[in-house]
Amino acid sequence: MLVDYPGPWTPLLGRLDAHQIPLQNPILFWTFVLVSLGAATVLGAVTYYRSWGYLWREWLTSLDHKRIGVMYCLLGVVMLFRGFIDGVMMRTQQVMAVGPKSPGYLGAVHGYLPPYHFGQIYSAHGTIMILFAITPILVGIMNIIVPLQIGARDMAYPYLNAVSFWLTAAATGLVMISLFIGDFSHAGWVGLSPLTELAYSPGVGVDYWSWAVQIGSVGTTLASINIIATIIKMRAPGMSWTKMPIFCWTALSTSVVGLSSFPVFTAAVALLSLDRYAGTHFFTPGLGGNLMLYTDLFWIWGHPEVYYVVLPAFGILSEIIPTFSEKPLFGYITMAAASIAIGGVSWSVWLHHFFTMGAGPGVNAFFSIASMLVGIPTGVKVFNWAFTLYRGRVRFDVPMLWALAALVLLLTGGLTGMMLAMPAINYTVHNSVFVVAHFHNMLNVVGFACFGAINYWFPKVFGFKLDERTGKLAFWFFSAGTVVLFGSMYALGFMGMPRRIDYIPFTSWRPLLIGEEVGIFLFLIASYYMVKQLFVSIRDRAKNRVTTSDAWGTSRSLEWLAHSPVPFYNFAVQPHVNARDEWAWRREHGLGHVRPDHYEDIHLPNNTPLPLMLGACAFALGFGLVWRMYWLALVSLIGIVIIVIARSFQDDPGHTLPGAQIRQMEAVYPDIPREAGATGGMLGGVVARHALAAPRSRARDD
Amino acid sequence: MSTEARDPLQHPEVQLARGGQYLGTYIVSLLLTGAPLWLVVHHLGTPLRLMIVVVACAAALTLIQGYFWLRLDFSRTQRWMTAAFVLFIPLFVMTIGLTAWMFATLYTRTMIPTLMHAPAFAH
Ligand code: HEM
Ligand SMILES: [Cu+2]
Repeated sequence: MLVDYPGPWTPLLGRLDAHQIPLQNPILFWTFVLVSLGAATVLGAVTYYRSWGYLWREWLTSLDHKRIGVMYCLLGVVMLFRGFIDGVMMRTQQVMAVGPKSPGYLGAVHGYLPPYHFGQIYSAHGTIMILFAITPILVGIMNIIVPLQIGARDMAYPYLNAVSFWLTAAATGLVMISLFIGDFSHAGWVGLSPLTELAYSPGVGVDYWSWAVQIGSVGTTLASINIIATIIKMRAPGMSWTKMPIFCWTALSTSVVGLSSFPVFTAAVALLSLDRYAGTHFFTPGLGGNLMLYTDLFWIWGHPEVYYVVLPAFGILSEIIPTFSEKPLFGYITMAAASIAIGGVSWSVWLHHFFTMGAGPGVNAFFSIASMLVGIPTGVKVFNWAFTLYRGRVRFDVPMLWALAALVLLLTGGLTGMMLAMPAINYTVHNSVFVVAHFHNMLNVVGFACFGAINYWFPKVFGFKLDERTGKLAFWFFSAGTVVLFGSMYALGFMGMPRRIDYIPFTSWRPLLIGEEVGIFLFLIASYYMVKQLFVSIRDRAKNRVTTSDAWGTSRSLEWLAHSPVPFYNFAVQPHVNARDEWAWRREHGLGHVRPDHYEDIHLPNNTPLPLMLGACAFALGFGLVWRMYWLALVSLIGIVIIVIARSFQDDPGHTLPGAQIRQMEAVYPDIPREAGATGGMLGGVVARHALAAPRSRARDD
Repeated sequence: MSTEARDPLQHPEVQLARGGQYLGTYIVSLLLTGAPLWLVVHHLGTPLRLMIVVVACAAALTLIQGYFWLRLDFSRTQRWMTAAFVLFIPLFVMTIGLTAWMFATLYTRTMIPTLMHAPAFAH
């Protein structure tokens, strides 16, 4: 082979042998047992209820943007739980391993996790939470909501959408399987160089990390392309740029950021893989390599990535807050402009992640100022939200609670970000847990927004609301956990505690470490209530069923015009958009539900298993490369090429849903009147006619 | 432009496809990436010269692929592509430019021997 690495290699199994399955580790063993039991239960249930056909037809091969979005969210939520368990393990290790007298268990000198295992846990935690939990949840939400908000039938490229999802799923699968076969990277979510080089990490851990993130970032790049094209090309008639909901603006901005930054990451990690597989020296110390170049490239993606996750969160807040303040969003134009500006600035600040590397003062000053500039558009947004609340009729439904708490977190997270953006402060707290507290604070803004979004849009997608009582309990425990855990962590950061340590030398830090443990315990309670919320809501779904399209009664944008749950064709007739908050406009004009006088045929794509197969091949490709089973990698690569070619020769014109059939399906909805309105034969129904007949000014005050 | 429900082969972008040019560009691309790789692997030339060759080949490739593969021009179908490409230039300049600036100040301060003699700074 091109490079030397320790351990045996066989042509058939590559580096894999029976020792790589860590049965001797009791933690992994019991996890394995649990996961196997869980999987067996799920598979058994699917078989018992004879649901394979349903699963295959309605989900696994579906190109419906809502189905794909739900699968994205499900994947993200499962990974959120996995990442959370990693968090519980880290907190518990740190609270156990304080001071030289602290006992050790399970082969660890202190605590219960040896350093190498601890390193894998924090690396997996970070990678999973950012790339395989938060990102899929947000992409899933954008997938479901963006087409509905712009009045489209689907994404611009439904097939590509499924491909993106299955690539993400394949990458996630690689991360998960590393638990039970081999091990995961111990070099942090950022891939600390040169620790990721073969000489310092000869195992397969870094390879698992690198192939998972490469496959995953291809998926995310494709998803970004899809969302941009959807927003530019698929808006319903009448929806000009200034009538587009703010969530779509943030989705657009975030996707531009994603499209322009993810390839940098893919390329950087690909170069690292060349180092590890082909013996090049891009990032090695010496021999012409430049290990600092990796850090540079990583953060050229890494900083835009944090905005990639925060922008949709801002969009979600901009949807939830007006609904529950019962008034329109304040400062629409500045809100849209700020979304684009934040995306724009995000490219010029990445160096604030390595001020301490030693660039000159001019460079550090430039990036410091650029970082602080982000505060301007962000501040604009915060004031706009505040003015939306001001003199609103504020209601504290569960989504609103999450949104309001997110605003508070945004304040503290943003301000600590400002602190970190000053090189003088940064030199004292860089690589301390103060940084960890800062970014958990910010990523919690995203997390809170996601929970808010799930509670907010759940009735739209599934037709019934999530339970209020358990939802509120989950919210309060989660918030308490956030304050207790990250409050303690900020304090420890000020006291100088470094990040990523498995042993804490100073017993004086113990009280705050106990505080952190209490915080994670509160999170544990919160996650119990989240599971309970889902359970209770599904059990009582008949009671919580929403019978109208507008589940909250005061929502504003176009998705609330579609039925709940949204039928697979989204809108029976493509809506004609008259106002910025179209649904609110129709509601106020008594045009909420009108029956079109005729229905047109709808063209829809056919299901296809090819994206799923592409995902399977990508997984096999990654697995083959990780273990250097080159035959497997080659076979799956050829499989991918063949599938792509086969798809382009497949003449698949999709299918057409006749108007008559839509009429029948629409008849079951109680909020659609029996009688058709007088439309004068105009498609888009009464609303279009009304809008054309009445000038805007008159329409507003009648 | 709505092309759904129409023959995909009639799509204007698909209509721009030219098998021969694609193949030709592919071969040229292989040459223009293979040649610098070969030079670098065999250390043929000073670091500075190698860098010039690599950059020149990359620039040539960008133009060739941009024109013959991506078909960047100002026609109605393609001007979105061209606009996207042009929009990407400031990003490119910014990331590469700021990185160069950063390393220029970094090398002299960190004084890592191999980096001090990195091609860009070895006269
Ligand atoms: C938009 C939401 C934000 C998110 C999601 C976020 C996330 C992060 C993450 C993930 C890291 C560090 C990662 C690591 O070292 O492993 C980080 C560090 C940092 N963030 Fe933020 N951040 C956000 C906003 C901000 C803002 C507004 C600023 C300043 C204006 C800022 C300034 C910094 C700085 C200077 C560091 C580097 C600290 C160091 O390593 O010494 N961040 N942030
Ligand atoms: Cu940053």
